[in-house]
Amino acid sequence: MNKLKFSILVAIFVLSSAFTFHKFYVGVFQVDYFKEKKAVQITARLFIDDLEKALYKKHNKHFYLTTKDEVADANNYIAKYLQDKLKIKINNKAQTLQFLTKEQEDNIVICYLKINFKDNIKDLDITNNVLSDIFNEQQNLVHLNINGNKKTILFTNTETNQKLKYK
Amino acid sequence: MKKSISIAFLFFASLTAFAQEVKKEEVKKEPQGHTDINKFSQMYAEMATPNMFRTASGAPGPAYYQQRADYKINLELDDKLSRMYGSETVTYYNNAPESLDYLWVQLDQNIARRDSQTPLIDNQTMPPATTPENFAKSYMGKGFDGGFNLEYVKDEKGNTMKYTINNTMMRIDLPKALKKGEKVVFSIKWWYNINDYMKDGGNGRSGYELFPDGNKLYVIAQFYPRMCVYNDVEGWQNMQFWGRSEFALTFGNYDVKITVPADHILDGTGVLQNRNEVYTAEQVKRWQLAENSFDKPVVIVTQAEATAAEKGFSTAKKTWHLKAENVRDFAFSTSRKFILDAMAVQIGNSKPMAISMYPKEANPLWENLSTKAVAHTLKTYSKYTFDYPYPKAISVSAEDQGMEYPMICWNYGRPDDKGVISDRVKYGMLGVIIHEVGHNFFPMIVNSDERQWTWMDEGLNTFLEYLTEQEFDKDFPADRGPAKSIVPYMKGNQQFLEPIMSHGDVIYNFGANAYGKPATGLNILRETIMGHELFDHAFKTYANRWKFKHPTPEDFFRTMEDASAVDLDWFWKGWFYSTDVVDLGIKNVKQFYVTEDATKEVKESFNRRGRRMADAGPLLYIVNSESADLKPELKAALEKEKVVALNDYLTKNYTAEERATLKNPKYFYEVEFDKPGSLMMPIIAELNFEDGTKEVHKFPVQIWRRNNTTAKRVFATEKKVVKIQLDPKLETADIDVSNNTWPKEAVVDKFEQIEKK
Repeated sequence: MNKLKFSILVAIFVLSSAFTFHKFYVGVFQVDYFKEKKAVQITARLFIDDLEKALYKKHNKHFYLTTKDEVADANNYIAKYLQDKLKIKINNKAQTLQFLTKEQEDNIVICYLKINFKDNIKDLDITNNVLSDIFNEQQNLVHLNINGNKKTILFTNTETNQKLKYK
Repeated sequence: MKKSISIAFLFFASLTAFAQEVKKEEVKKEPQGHTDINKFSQMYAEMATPNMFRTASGAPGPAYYQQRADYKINLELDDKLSRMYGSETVTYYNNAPESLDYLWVQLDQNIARRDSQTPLIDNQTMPPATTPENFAKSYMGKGFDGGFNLEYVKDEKGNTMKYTINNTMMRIDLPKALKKGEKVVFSIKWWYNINDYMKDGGNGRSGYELFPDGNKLYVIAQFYPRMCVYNDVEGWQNMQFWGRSEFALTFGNYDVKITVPADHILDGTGVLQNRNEVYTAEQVKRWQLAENSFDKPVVIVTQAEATAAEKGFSTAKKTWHLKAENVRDFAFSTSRKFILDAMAVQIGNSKPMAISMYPKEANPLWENLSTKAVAHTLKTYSKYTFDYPYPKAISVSAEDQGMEYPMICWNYGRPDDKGVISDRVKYGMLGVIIHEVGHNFFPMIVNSDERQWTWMDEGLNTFLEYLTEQEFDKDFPADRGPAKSIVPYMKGNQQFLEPIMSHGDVIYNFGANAYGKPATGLNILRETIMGHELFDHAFKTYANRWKFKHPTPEDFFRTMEDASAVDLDWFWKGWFYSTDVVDLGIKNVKQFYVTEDATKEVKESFNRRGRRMADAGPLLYIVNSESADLKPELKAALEKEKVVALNDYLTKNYTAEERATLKNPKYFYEVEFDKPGSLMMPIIAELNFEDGTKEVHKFPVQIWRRNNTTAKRVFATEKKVVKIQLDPKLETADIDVSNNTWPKEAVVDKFEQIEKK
């Protein structure tokens, strides 16, 4: 079986039933924009083993994230994965997501990302497939704070794009 | 002296009363009335009225009853076709005071039928690409062909009985009503295709794992038609099985014979009746050694034996015979790949066996840790509940699993394909073993209704799992238990939060809602609200009252109060029945100084009230740091000897020795706490002094009892306070800590920190 075949099989069937009772699949994202900071600041809190699994499926390689065996350029792979699965358009223009660093907190990895931006945000278009590409049950909660205007939106494997308008 | 104190008291009381009068005049509109909305009001509306079945104390009542179902089951596994053939004779006892016209039986395998309703409740979207196999499965009706195929349902005399199947539930109509104290015997014959649980979906808690060499490792559960629970709160618990909310099952005895390929190793719920027939003579000897080995496991089926067996694919058959008493379910696991080790565990006067079964792919992780973790779990849980009453507990290595049954459970965690065992895999595997073995206590023995209330077993079990992990290894990474870990969930958008007291099928974030939040709530009760002694006794009382019985949430809530004298209705309402959040804050801190010079405020008040100052006797006047009365020289630490009235009083009323034991307060702070969050918590305030020392003051939650929103306290300290920190150990799940310090600390901009590096 080739790799693509395997990963699609896995995507659709492995986690289609709720049998792993110890586990749940949730990512929490915080997206902040304050004009004076000239950047959209994003933190992504993901379960380390889920991210590890996603990278393994993509590259057929273990990364041993946040352990002493972590491969040297793991951050580049995480950056590429997140840039691929989290796409943000502001005012109808695709933005470049810059990966800054990551931290470990218990079983969670916190990724820090930013987009350099200094104008007013009028339209925000977010596509979030992070981990929902391999876990059917994945839910990504995105807390937005755009100049003090707070809102939370939910992404699932069937709800992957959301558009918001700001005045 | 006494007189002047009481006059002073009257005086201050009238000052306050006066202030209130002024306020009242400002309110022009008549206030609207309301019912008792105080957060300490008792839960008469939320809880069912206690009765003879379930008492107000939370214990089973004098008329408490429960049903019983005994099973005699014969099974045969077709390893080649992955198919299970079975027949059972069920003896069902009606202990309810009322008669039953029909019985309800659970057909859990039916969620994998091709006409199952379960996949139809999921949302779907088109994938960007798919395999031909998936395409055929998804759109051409060639999905896994699962579900029970029933051959017959017969009564004791062999006559066919009338039955009706509604998805995962089957109603059997009784020819005549089953009265209290009567029993009915019936038989069912069936077969079903066993699913590859990694591929076929369906009943994912059960099935087989396929290895590249063609060997299968079976973890078999929900494999037989099982009696529904009938009781005083639900009648028949026949809510459909949609795949997530688990089981409600009746206690009974099981006598099960399982025929599998002769080269398989099998174990399951109950006591093995024919060890001499199914083990080699050598293995029987090793088993006897294990029964007396309390410090380490004895390997009974070795890796060499398992490696030899997995090449055989024997066509001969062997039958394993297991009997179990007073269990709510039966499950087993079988494979020719199994290595098996076991040790005895001393629990009170009994010696249950801790057992592990795993393929060579799980080593060396499993031979080192699995059985040890099982033994530790039985000991620790027994300490917090009751002595483990079953004869054994088995941990089976099954990838991607974490599922519990009486005396047996499936657990994930193996070295990766390069042989690397990361800490995450090790602790993940230990965590899941502790959790699933722990489920023997909740819900296998304390038999709550999982179909309705996921948290009753998962929450209580996750709480004990946390304690057990910390006792196993003090550095065990804990993701559910500590208060701070639940904050990201609880501070989320209310739109995606449900109370814990919600049905499992409707919850967005199942893990945090039904596992994490109740476990954290119990941990907060134990650490912060009740203390270990009161909590542990009450928790143990609940476990002992309801072992081998069917408790409801109210039985738990009531027992926790009944056994501890701690009123917790406010906590149950806030933490379990609502999505309220904790957010306490320090609203304001005022510093005060003491003087003997009458302040303008007090003088004016005396004049206004027409009272002669002399009546009050000598007074100490308290000046706010912002008051115009405050002379610069007053802004200093209090020296009690220099305050004449106070010094006179102390000298007159106390001996020098007594005076030496008096506190020597020098600084006075009035702190106003507020509560932007709707959930209450005790106030824990840490005073940080100039010299680096700290002092923690804790005020019971009842400090919020009147207005539920603000509270004030005075701290008289010997040292200057430089900082006040609320909830310094993050033990209350406060969702916003930015208002927890005085003076306010600037929020650290994480991004600036990162970019500076």
